[in-house]
Amino acid sequence: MAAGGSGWAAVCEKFRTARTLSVVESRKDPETEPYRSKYSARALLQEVKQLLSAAEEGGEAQLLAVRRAVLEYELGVNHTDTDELSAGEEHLQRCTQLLEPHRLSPDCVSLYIQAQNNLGILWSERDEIKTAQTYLESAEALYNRYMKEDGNPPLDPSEHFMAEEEKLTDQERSKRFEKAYTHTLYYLAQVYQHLEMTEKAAQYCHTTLKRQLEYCGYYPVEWALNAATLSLYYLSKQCFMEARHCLAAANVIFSQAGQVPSAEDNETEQDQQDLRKRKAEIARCWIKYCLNLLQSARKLLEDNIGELDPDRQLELKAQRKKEEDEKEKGRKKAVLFGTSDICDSVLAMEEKVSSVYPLDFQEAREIFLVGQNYVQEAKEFFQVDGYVTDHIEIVQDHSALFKVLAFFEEDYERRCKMHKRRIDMLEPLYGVLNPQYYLLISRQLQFELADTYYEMMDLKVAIGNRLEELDSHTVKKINSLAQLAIKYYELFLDSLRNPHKVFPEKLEEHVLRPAMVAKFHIARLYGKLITSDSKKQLENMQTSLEYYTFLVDYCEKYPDAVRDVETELELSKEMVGLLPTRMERLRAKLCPFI
Amino acid sequence: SVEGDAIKVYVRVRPPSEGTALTDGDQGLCLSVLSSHTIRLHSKPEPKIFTFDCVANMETTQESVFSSVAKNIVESCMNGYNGTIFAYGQTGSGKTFTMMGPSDSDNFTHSLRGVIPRSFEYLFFLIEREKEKAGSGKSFLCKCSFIEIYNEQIFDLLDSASAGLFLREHIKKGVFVDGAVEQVLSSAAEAYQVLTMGWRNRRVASTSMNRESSRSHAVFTITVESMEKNNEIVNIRSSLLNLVDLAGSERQKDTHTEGLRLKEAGNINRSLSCLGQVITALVDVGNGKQRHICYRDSKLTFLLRDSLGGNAKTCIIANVHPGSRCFGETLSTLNFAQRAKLIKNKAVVNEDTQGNVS
Repeated sequence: MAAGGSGWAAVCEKFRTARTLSVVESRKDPETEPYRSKYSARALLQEVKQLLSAAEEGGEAQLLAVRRAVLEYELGVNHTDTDELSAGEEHLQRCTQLLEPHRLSPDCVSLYIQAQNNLGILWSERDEIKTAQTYLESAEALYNRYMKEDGNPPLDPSEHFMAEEEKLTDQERSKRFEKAYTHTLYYLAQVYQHLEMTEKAAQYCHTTLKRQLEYCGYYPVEWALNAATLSLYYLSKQCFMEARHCLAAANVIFSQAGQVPSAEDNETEQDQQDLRKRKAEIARCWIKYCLNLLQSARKLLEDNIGELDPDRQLELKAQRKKEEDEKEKGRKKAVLFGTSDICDSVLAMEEKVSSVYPLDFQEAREIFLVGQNYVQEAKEFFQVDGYVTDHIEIVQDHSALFKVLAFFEEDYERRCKMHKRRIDMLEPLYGVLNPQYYLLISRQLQFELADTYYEMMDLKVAIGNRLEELDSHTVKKINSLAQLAIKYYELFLDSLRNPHKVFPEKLEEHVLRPAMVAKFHIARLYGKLITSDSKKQLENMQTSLEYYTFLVDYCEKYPDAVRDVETELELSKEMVGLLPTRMERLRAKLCPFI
Repeated sequence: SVEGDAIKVYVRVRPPSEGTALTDGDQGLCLSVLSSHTIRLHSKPEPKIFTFDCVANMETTQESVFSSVAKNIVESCMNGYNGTIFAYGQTGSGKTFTMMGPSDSDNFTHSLRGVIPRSFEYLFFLIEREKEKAGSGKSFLCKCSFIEIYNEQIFDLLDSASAGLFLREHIKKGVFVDGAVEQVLSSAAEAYQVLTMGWRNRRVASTSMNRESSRSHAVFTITVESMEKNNEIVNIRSSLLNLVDLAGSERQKDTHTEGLRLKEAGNINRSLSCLGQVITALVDVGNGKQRHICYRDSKLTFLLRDSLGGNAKTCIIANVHPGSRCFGETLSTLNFAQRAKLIKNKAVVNEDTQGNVS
């Protein structure tokens, strides 16, 4: 292989200098001359190319072709790096042409794949993602074919300009080759995402993450965060087993991060802070996992009035028994992260929480508790002082966890207590929140508080209905809960008013439904207020009627609104028909002599 | 009057730089202003018409820009609303001229001074007028800060020694830059002094630390606090006025405006740091499901969250250069401005009643 003694050594030296200029020195270039080192590197590469042409006679054809291809590759990358796409494309094309006949040989395969990766990037920069796709997919195919037919660690492109004694070990060769292929997959993930092939893109993201782990090409924190984010994709597809796997792996890999001591001590505090934040972010993904799992289970189990359907519960339990064995098989097919020891830790992590739908209170509670633990963990970092939005979002999730757990609780009194817990966590926050800066969250809190009081009132009514007679304590409780619900709905509606306190003629799209629901609920609440004073009762009915009428009139004026509030509108219409007669009857009772 | 809370978008066309008009002639222009609301971009094959709240042609004066963009926002600021004025556009499209005025003068009285000095004048004029009207019952406190966002890091332009400040949130005060110097202002001239001093820091930074101003966003914030005593009840109102000079739009390749480019994996030692963003994009497709996105928006959007679809009166001045060589940038600026119009704002008066004092 030694082509021409000392002359060859000089060529190699030039090539190496060019590489260093391009990769290391160029990062220090001044802003005014951003490409200075790249241009110097380019000049050197051109020289090397000249020297190679001179040596053309006599050399071995394939060897020469490959060396020239390496230079074309380097020149191609150099030109694209310096915003000269067309020239870059020419060089890269020439590189692949030179390699075409030998692309499956261990000398060429890695270079060929990298050239195609770069052509992929180049075409995406021209906004031609389909063309980029063809290059990257062909790189992928070549890798697969090579691994099937040969599989030995191929030469790294840089080795073509190295002296024999400097050549890389097989292990290093394999590492670099796999890295180039990982890049192919990473680019493909982006291509598929741009082409809106979501599922495929997710799959390639997953594989990229997996390969990063296998070949140790990752920063633990970043990897963990990426895996946690991927879990959210699986959540949106209701794939809880995959989501849990991603999160468990995120936890395991994240724990490696703290063990690596930071090089610069002066940055440690900042690093620690950052680390704590990332940990809290992952905890928040876990909260979403628990919440989604519980909420999906609730959807499966609820009847048409939103209560737990016991028949459905039995049916699902039977079904689950049957499926359990098959699940085990399915799991083996999923792409799992990590090699032996990491894999064991991930599995251990997974065992701490179920990934199947909870079907009764006990099962729901276990998931709830896991979620609640992560709420505490997330709140440790995202404290209200400094992280208002994040903190409140976490508390809202906590409240949502209680809400869905309450669905599984059969005892009404205990259920009511769970809702009270929600009030206790939300109300103090709402009290201090400044709507000038947090209008949206403020509205969300108003609405959620109103809804919670509304739900509690409903429960108290249900409890009351079981009693022989409504005692004064229960009546008082029902009325006060109803009043509080009304208060928060009104606060929400007030937040929609303009600075001159006028309620908008036409509601904006994003508040239409909540505003209408608020009006509807207030109407119902006035209907539920209990009083022995008939005059007062008449007044409440009148108010109730006004709110129902608002809904009916609004929908008449803006028919677009109808599809958002179909059920509510139907009931309102009914009430607008009924209430006046009822009120008439009540009035007649009040003044029997007229 | 009940006006919409949508972000107002104002497009200003600068005159072509001297020399280019002569050589390029009329054919050298890539757009024409059709009316005070519409602009036509000479794209091929079909010209494209854009409609905005206001379009200012090359002859528009600084005074008229101020009146139609900032006057209203400064007024609402006096009434307890937050207000934000953005300048957006390619480097060289006239952002600094529009906001500050001619670059070679620190002169606060220059006839070509920009929106910012004029806003100062107007704000303090209004404050004085209020004070006279209300007598001793009402008092004002104005403070300002001036920060720069470069490479996702926050620098305090009023304290060139500091580096790397952080954004935090306060449950009463909203988002703020922790540790940023706040200077009390008593007059427009003082405000302008602080601004020019900070602006100079920005330029100094551009040579000593190797960055150029057009790659950074500069945010000048005035806090106006008014206190009114009325029958032993103290009424405090506070509001923010943000004046923002965005980085040149051509530098914002990593924001949402970006097209289809693939993010590169970079050199050997770097990991694939953008993978998370790819995944985030996937999750965004997920419909209404509970999710938490770990990768947050940029520092700038976080700081100005209230101004973008939040709780403030906001105006964007999109500056464009009419030269045909700038066609691509102009198109993307106009597209950005068009999208910005869709963002809805809702302004709410902040009245914080602090009980009895006696």
